[in-house]
Amino acid sequence: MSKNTFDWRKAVEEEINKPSEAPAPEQETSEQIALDDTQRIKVLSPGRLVFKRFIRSKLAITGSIILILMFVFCFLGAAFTPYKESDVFHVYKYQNADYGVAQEKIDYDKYTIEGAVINDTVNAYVTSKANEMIASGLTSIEIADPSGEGLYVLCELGENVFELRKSDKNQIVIYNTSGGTFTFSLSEFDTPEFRNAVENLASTTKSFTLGGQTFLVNYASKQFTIYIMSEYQPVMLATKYVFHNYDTANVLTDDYKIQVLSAIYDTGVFTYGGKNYIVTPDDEAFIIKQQIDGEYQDYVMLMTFSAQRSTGEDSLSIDYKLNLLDLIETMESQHLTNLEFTFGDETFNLYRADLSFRIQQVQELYLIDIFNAPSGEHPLGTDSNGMDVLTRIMYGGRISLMIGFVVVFFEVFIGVILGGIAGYFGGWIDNLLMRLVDLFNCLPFFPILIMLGAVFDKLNVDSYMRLLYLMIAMGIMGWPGVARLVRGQILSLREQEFMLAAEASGLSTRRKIFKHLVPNVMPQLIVNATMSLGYVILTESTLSFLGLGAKYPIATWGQIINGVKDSYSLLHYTYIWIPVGLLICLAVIAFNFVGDGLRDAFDPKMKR
Amino acid sequence: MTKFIIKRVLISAVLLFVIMFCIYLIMRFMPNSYIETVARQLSQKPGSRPYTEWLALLNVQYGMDKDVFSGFIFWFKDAMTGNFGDSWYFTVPVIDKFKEVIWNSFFLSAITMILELVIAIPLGVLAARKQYSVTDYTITVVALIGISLPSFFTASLLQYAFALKLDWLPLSGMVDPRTTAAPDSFAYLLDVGYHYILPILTLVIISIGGLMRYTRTNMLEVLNSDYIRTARAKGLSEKRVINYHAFRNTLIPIVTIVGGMLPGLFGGAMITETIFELKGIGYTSFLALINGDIPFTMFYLTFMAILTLLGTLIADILYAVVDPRVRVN
Repeated sequence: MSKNTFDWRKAVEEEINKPSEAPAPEQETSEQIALDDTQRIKVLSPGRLVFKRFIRSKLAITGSIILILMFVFCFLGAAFTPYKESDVFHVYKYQNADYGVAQEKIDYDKYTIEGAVINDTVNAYVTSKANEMIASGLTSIEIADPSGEGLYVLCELGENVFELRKSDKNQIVIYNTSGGTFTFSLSEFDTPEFRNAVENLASTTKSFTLGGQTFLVNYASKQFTIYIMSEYQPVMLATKYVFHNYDTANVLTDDYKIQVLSAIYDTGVFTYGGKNYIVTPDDEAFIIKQQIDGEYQDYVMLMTFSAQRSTGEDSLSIDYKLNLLDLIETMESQHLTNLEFTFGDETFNLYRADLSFRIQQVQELYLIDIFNAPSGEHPLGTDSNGMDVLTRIMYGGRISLMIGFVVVFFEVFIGVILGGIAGYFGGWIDNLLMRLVDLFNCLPFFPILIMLGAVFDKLNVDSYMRLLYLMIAMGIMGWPGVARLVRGQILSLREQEFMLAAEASGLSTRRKIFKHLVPNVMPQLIVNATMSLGYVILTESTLSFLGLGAKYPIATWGQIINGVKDSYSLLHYTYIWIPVGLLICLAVIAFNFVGDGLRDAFDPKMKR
Repeated sequence: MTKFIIKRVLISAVLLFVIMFCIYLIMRFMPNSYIETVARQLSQKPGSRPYTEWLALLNVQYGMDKDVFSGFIFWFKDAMTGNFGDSWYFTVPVIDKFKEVIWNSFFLSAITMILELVIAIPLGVLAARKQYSVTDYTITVVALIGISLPSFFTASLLQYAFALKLDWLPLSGMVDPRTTAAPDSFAYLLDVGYHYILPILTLVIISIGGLMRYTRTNMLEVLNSDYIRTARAKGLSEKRVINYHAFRNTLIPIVTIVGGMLPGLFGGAMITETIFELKGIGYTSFLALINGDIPFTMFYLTFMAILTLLGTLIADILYAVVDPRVRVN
């Protein structure tokens, strides 16, 4: 007892006397200072002590520097980058684009005369029959009609032009042998001689002649049907010639084309739509000239050569086509497969493709500049939306870091209140709240967030709203850790003397908890919050990577990586995902380093 | 001791009941439009039930037509007998799908855990013994980096390096799609093992740091205690002090935490499995979660909650078993 007695009176006396004993002038300290002098011991405030210990830890300093740089990069960097978050970049790219197709005609274009009916089978035979005629030298050939409704003849009007003519089968009369009745369709044949001739027909007769006319007979179920064939009439024109307008804006009707085709091997002159036209043969082609004000001007050229744009429209000029024809002849004679040529001031590439020739032009296309490799303009290239990756990273970093702070704020806010209440009151309140903490600890946190993301996806929740919901959800899921920490500390703190003093001075419960107890938990809270910041960034980036967190147009680090996660992008777009991934790692590592350093600084006992 | 265990088990049982109720609530309060969207999408699949039938099925499984409490009891009874209904996405009973994939996850996690223990504990002890040395700093930094690495980034880096650039290991999947080996043959097993290398590597890298730091902290605490000073004072060799006196005491918290990790072996690794497309419980659940497969999701949430509860329970009991001082209370 006596050994431990503390003579406070003496202590106070010493304390009071000390300042006067101490040498005031600074320059004399080196000589006059005593070993037990208070001036000798530099007194630091607790905050400064922590700071001093903190900066002594290399890892903590490294972490702090990384974090400061990161914040400068994300928040100030964006002010210096010339681009905005959602700027989409376009680029002019030279690409070999298909321009046109040219070929020597091998099939026939068919023009049906208006009002004519042609059997489909006959129509399909026209091309092969025409080729047959060319091979055999015949000038006309019959085409059988399987339906038997008419007779068809294909005639060659001249080189490459064929005319299909049809003779219709007209029914004259039906003669019923059992009743001897006549039913006439064409009454002009109703003469006694005709009736007589019909009455005397044998059932096997196929045709008979009367008065210089040939009649066809069909006998079925005791009925004779008599037909007469009409004169042959042209129904269709088939040609290898292609119509090339001198004025590409012109559109030729089928009717006009039929007129031309009928005229070229005939008189060579025709009138259409009140205008006179004249046909002049030209080498292997024909030129149709139109009479305007008494003078004939080139109007259409017929060639067995077709050339059109790849889009299918016939908008190439006649000069271009003739030039092309010459070039193709050159290619044929020199056995070339590829030829470059200029027309006007444009360069084209002509190459052979099977039976046709294709023309390509180097075209300047205005495209969104996606997945552009790093360049001076875009140091980290562009992403799948044609946005500058570096700029996206800066803006994404803002959101990623901000999310961390918001979530941790939520966590700490709920955790401190509930933990403080549980720790201070104890008893059944403590029990209830701690069971709630257990409950939250057992709920699978990450799967629920994923489920939430899927629900947002299906309901098409707005990008900004879902980010807010996500932060709230993460805050709600994270508070139990904080609550447990606060409660544990407060349980031991409330037994200490200063709480007895607080009790004695009659402070309100709220004041006791939040002014006297919670500030004492601050060190642990700060460490916990710092570590949580890293963890939240990790969770958010993982969710966004899976496509269930932040969504376009919001940029976060995870969302940027989400754009390049298939194996092709992984291999080819390393300039996007590696820097972002490293940034996420660095941020989390830095928060952990700082948290670690803070823990050691706050609690020197740990540094044994 | 028995009394303590019984008490803990009972508390856990009550907690499980409440947790299942919470999970049921999550399901009950899912937006109706979400459930309807999912059901409508399902009904558009070829050969699927009509839209109304899907909703009716949900009613039967979860007692949606009853009030919340009786609906929960209705579902709880079913769930306790292992009947979780038919999976919407996989179109087989939930339990069948679970049995099909769970062992893939278990082997993945088990191998990872063994590697983790073998690497992390010795390194943690080493770091504690040489506190503030270069070794200690290196181990601490590496551990912290491991903790900080996002699993998807680690997996992507490994895929990039070993599968795409070097082409040593397969990119993803369980087996080579062109394999002709029979599912039970040794060659097949070897192929699976070959596909497991990268996922295991990923998991070891990201999980090793935590245990390493935990070992180091506990070892430091033990090394600073009085009985170690006594042992040294007694003149015991450093080897004996570390291996017999310090390490054995360090094992107390480690055994506890590792015991608590055991149920987690069945939980799967969702992100890693998804990235490597390993057909484990994690990948399966991920597919179920994002495709709105409500029956499987409900099962998975319940299953994860049970695993966590079991983990805490085992850790608590082990703590009492390993450390005699706890048993007094």
